[in-house]
Amino acid sequence: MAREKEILLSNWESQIRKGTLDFIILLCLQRQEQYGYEMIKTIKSVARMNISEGTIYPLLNRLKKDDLITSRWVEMETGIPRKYYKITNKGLQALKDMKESWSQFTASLNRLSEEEK
Amino acid sequence: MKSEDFFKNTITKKIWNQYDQRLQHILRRTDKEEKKELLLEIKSHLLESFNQDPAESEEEKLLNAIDRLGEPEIFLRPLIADRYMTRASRTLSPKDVARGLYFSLFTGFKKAVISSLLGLGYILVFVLALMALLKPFFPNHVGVLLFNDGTITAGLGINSSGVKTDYLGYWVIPISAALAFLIYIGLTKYLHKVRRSRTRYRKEEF
Repeated sequence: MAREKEILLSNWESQIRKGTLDFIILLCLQRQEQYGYEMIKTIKSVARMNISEGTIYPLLNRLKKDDLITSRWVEMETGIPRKYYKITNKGLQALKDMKESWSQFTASLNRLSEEEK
Repeated sequence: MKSEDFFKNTITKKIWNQYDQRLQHILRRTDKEEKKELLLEIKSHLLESFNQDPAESEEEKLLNAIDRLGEPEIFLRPLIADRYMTRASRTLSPKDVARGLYFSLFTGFKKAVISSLLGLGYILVFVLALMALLKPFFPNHVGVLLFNDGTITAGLGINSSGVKTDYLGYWVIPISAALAFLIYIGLTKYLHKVRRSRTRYRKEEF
């Protein structure tokens, strides 16, 4: 029973996190430029998300297509080039809107959750 | 980026090359430049992940990195579906439409429902086009037909005996052809709209 509850909660959390992944990506990039692998590490540690690492690439591609982020390749001494992503002004504006919307959404949910008690 | 530059072990090189072949195969129909960039980015990710893996053996490190990255057939699917949909909405090519629908079917329930409905729509287009083509050769099998027993068949039928009235006659050819054309254009325009609304940033989602 406890295991079933754990699975249910874990699936629910996973759905929420996946649904907000583009928001999380923009949040990561507002602080500094990052490359894919670095971003995954941030997401895993800060957002405590255990996602399949490849999931991020189609999302980055879509955000880039929507002009919310840009990218550039940087040659490294290790011989492994890194593709760095940077948030654009349009991306910053989108992120601002997302934050507002997210605050309203969580506030509504909190109110609803309080009412139930 | 060659495996020889990063791996010493033959087995590790083999694993890397096999993964590379899988990626090449999945991305074979994407644009040349885009394919090159995606391959480079995924390989760069794998090598970073490989370098930071705590495992002792080279092969184990690479296998762990591949495992964390996920199955490319799954994580690249939304991206490929998107590419085909974009191309299909531009070229109106049935081949691109079919490919886009095929890949979309595996990228989420909502998309699967939309894809299925669109798929049914395209089947209808195919049947209408077939009706227009087959009417001259099988006049008693195609059309809106009333049979002696009172049953009505609209479309393509196997039974041709006992046809009492052919309501549309040979008018079925231009009508079916026009309907097929209009539905095809309508569906493809809708496909374009769905694709655009999906890729456009919509703040109300948050």
